[in-house]
Amino acid sequence: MIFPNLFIAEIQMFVLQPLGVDETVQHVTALQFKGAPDLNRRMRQQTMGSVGPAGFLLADDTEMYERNQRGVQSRSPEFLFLGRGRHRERLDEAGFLTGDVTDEVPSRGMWSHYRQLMETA
Amino acid sequence: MDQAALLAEVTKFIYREARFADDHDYDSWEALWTDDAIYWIPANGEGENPDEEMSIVYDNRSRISLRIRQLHTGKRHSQTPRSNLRRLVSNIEILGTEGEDIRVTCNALVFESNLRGETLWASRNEFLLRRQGDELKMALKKVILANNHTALYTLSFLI
Repeated sequence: MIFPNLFIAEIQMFVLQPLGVDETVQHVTALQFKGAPDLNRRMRQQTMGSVGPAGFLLADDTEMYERNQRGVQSRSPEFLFLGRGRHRERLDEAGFLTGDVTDEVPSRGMWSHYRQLMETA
Repeated sequence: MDQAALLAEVTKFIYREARFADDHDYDSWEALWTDDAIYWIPANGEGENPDEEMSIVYDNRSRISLRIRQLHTGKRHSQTPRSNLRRLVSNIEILGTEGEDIRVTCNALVFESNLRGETLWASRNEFLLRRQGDELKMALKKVILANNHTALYTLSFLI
């Protein structure tokens, strides 16, 4: 994930385009390499199968995004709690803040950076 | 077979296919396909070469089967609860016949009601139907959505 809206996955890339507080477009296409037609065909096939509006994975993922959105819009409760794993945050060997795989370190990092950018703007 | 009788037979097939899709009658719908089937929903236009460009769906027979199996798991969250669907199919024309193959085009308008709200899907559909024994089967269904150049909502029902 490249802040704020570029996501490079194993075989495809996404660009997230917010249009409003209640609408975001997720653009997606397969990664392609120069001079690798067989690999490229496979990555397109796997991308078409997994992501996109009718994909085996992403149709359900986006369903969850939409349900989260409706949940947030209900304003009850008013806040989302992103504290999971805060008590075990630590620095790794390279000096990056990290936690366990199920912890919300990335969400906390993204939103605190977002807040910093919005408040200094 | 004269043209009127052929059109009547083709129309009956297409109405039945539409009913199976509307009713989420997945197994009946799957049984309509030939072994070499292609279910194709192009992105960004009419769809020229699915091997060279991205499509919304480009399923061969085994991937059609996988799609149906996923719908049967009960864990296809975008279809839990299922979309309520009603579709109108019209403008059915036979474009040509060659041996056992019949090439057909028609228009479809699908009304979808689900948790998000209400969505209209409009398309021109192309079928390659094939006579196998006493019945017709689908070798190709190509769904050219009128708005396939824009961002689309989740499309997880059978269109």
